[in-house]
Amino acid sequence: MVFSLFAKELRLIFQDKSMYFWMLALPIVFIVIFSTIFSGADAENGNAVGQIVPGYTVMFMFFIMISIVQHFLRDRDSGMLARLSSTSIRPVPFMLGMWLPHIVVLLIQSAVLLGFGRAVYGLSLGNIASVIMIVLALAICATGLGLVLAMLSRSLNAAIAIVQIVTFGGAVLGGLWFPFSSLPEGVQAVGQFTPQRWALQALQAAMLEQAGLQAAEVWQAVLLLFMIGAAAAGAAILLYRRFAEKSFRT
Amino acid sequence: MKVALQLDNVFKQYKAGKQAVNGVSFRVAEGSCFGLLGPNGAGKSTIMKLIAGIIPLDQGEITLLERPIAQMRGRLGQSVGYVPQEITLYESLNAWQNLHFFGKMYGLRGKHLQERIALVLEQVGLSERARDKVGSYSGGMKRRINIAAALLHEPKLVVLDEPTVGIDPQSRNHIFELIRGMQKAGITVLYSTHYMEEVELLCDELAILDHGRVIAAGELREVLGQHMGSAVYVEVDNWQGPEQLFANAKVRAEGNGWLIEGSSALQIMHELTGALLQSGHQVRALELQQPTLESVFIKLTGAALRD
Repeated sequence: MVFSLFAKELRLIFQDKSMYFWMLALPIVFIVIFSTIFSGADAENGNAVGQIVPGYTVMFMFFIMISIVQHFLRDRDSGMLARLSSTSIRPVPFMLGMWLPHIVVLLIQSAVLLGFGRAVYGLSLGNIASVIMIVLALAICATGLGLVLAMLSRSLNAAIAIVQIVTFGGAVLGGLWFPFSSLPEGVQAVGQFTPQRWALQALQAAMLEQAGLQAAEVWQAVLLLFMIGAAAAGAAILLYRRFAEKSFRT
Repeated sequence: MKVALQLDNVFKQYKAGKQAVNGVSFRVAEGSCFGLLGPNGAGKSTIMKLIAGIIPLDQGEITLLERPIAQMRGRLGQSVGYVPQEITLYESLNAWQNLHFFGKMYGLRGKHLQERIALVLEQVGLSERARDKVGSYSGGMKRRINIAAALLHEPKLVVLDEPTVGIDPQSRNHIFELIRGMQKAGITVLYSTHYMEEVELLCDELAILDHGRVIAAGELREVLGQHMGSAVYVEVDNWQGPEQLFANAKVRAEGNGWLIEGSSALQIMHELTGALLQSGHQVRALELQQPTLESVFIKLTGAALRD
């Protein structure tokens, strides 16, 4: 049943043309524009592309939260959730079936964006195993947060506003737009608490310094991101009944 | 009579405080079609969701084929096919993909699932359009696929919540035929609607609900007999009216004549014709009025709007 939900959900995601814009076209445009702007200015700091490509990859991965909220609210408000509750599917497999396709989407998105950086700008992917683990952990983290947001959202518009705060706020505080070291001390102090900061730091270590999984910067970030994702998914499962009840009322 | 479904003193209150179902009891015979009637907010959909196991009941017991549904847990979905009021299909998927998805949710697999999809598509008359996206379907076609999705796993009980809302007469007739086919196959049908003629046409028994309570139940003829007496309509030239003739009947002016309601139409006719023959008035019209389900429904639930 989880696989059937997974296959259906993945099919619906791929049918949504706006996803290609938000998840692939827009980040590539951002990467091209900012790489062009900063390529000269960054000569003294090393590699601008090494900041911009992983930075924007991390930032745009969080936009998946909109899709997650959209899909859950669609099923709740259309009565689909009530109907599915009359079948043999139970809440946890249902959540898994809705969750996993979005992780797959993020893996594809990050592969395309990092691959674009490699192909167009010659960006080193460094330690591939570390990069894959970081991206996977970040995908679980971002989608897990998306699940919680879906369970708490009353409307898609409200959720979009929150996603923008999480995405852009996290980007500024986590040093996705500018090198973290160039941020004011106060911002850096707050930025330490963002998953974006940990993800970018680990990605840069793996890509630019060939850091392996045993490197503290990598495993600590992977562990933290996994834990945030797992905790968020757990919270979402606990909130599911309350969320679904809105679909059950007439 | 073998009972397929039985509700005993069922209560359900939503968290917002609304008592949606308030001590409802009724029994549905196996292989029969049972109609649930009631104005908006009467509790019909809540009862259907309770039976389908979507929401838990607060008090009372629901028994399906002699087993309390509280004890059936995950297996309840195997015995019940629930068709919600809303069209719950994925519009960007085609009919086959939708049915395949629902079939999997009911635990069907492989060749059996393929065969069931082909069969239900044929039953709802959409085999030719199986590979078209549901979004391109008419309202009636969507309603039919909505029903087909609940038949895939060969349920013993099919719960249909207003399945004919907003569709053309052809699709409606097709759905009626589908329901008759279910009954022939021994499937029990619980049917909720606002259309009285559908209940008159399809259902063996019915219950009228209001404010979460059953206010009338039984076979159609019983319900009509219990809650509506006989009525006679009369039009007479230059007549003061029949009020003084019928002390025990209800008389009211209607159209160009009078409607006289009492316990016996024969008695009314007898007294009326006797009096008119004696007075020599010219009778323009004299009709026996059969009670209708709609007249009973309005009498029991009132004419006030229920928005």
